[in-house]
Amino acid sequence: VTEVTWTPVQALRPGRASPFFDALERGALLLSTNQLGEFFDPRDVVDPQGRGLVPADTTGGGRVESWSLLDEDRHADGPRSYAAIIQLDEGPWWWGRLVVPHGVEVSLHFRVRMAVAHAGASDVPSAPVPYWVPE
Amino acid sequence: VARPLTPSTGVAIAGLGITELGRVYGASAAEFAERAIGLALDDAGLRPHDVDGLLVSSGLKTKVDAGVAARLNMGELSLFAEVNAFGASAGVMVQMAAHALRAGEANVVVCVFADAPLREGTRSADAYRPRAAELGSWSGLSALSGMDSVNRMYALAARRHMGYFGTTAEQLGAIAVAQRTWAQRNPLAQMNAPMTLDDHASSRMIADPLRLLDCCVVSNGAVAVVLTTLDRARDLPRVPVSVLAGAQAHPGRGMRRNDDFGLVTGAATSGPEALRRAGIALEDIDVVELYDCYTFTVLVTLEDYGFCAKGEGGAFVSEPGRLGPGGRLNLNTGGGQLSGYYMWGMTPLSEAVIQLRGDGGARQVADAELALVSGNGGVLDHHSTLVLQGDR
Repeated sequence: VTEVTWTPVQALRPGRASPFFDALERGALLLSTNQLGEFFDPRDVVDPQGRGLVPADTTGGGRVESWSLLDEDRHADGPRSYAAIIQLDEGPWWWGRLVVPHGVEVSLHFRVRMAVAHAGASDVPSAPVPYWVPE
Repeated sequence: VARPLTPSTGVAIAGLGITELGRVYGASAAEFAERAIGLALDDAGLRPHDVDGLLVSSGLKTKVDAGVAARLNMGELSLFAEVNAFGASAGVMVQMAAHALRAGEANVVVCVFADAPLREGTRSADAYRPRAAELGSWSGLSALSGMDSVNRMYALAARRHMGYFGTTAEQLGAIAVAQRTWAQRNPLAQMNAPMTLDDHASSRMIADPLRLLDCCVVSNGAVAVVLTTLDRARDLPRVPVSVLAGAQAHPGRGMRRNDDFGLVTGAATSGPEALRRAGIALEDIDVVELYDCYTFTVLVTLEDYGFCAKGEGGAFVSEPGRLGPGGRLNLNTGGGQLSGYYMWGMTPLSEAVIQLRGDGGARQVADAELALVSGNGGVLDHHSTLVLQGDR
């Protein structure tokens, strides 16, 4: 399931996103958390009560809440890619790519774990991209 | 310039203007807007100088602004705004206009939506094609993850509904087929060739599980409505369509554990609230004009409005004799956006006005007096509901 093709595009890493991509380089999915231990999307600034958030590593494990087979893999015999909504074990949703071996059926609440690939081209720096595979 | 402003409780749509729609070229969105406003004012028996309120809305890649007021020589306005609640904009504009008219802040308010995403010699799919995103950014991450279009987002919503409730692609097809049957009676409809469930099932996949015939058409053009007080509308040439009530809901999903994305929409809030404000029961509604960017949007909105229980939308829409001309539910009687024309929330609103005036011709619903009109914007993020009554 590691033979994933990624569209090469210009690399960019704006300031606020840097810690997230740095965490991916070491295999962690960086979310944010409040003082009660509730987790939120890493782009969130405060929790619903206005409490500040701090970054926190997670493993990226979770379950599938929805999935859509991507066009490029519709007729392929190899691994299949889906756009998927993953409910992370810590609570937040992640809209990510799911890659499964051919013949594996994806279903509601299918268990997955995060993996990291690098996307880029010969003339631009690569960037880490999280994707999900069967647990 | 000052004109007397008098508070009024009754508000009505007194004019409707619809330009040529579909693959019509040679005009910008703003020019389409000007044409639609002119048609709507003619329909209402009013002149540009009578207008003192203007609310404009346009598509994702087009621009309509206050310039249309200048080009139509409207004079000084007491109300103006560019509104963007995406597909809910039409309903939101009508509610804003109604508030202004009831408060005496304006006498005649025009609401217009215009768009011109189609270019000659290109495909409809090119109208909303996303740009390449950048690596190492949030937007790039989203694109690389397969979230490549609005189609994909709605596909994920539909799939989740299927996963939780067993809704099927064939049930979505029943909506497409019923609306195509209505469209065959609508001279404005872009798609009027006969359609079967097999046609739906064999149409090409756009974003799994949504096929081509689950998706709305794309249109150039504009639609405008003119609102004034009910008392004044009764003195104008056309049958007034009263705005009994409206409501909005913008759920602001957190996308956290057990989020109801794809299962419940803001229509579950805005619908019952609009009906409550109007003092109307759901079973009193004669025609239902729902925002239908996709077949799935119709199904989930029917559930949220309470036409059937949550999760039973699939069985509801596929029950023989339910939808289509002569069916028990008069739903999207002009073919909607799936087969009619894609003027965002103005599509269901314009069809409601046509029906409540009795102007539906071959598709006219007998004795149509009350209409429920929905708007839906973003990816099930913004909702508006209007309850309208024909004053025939």
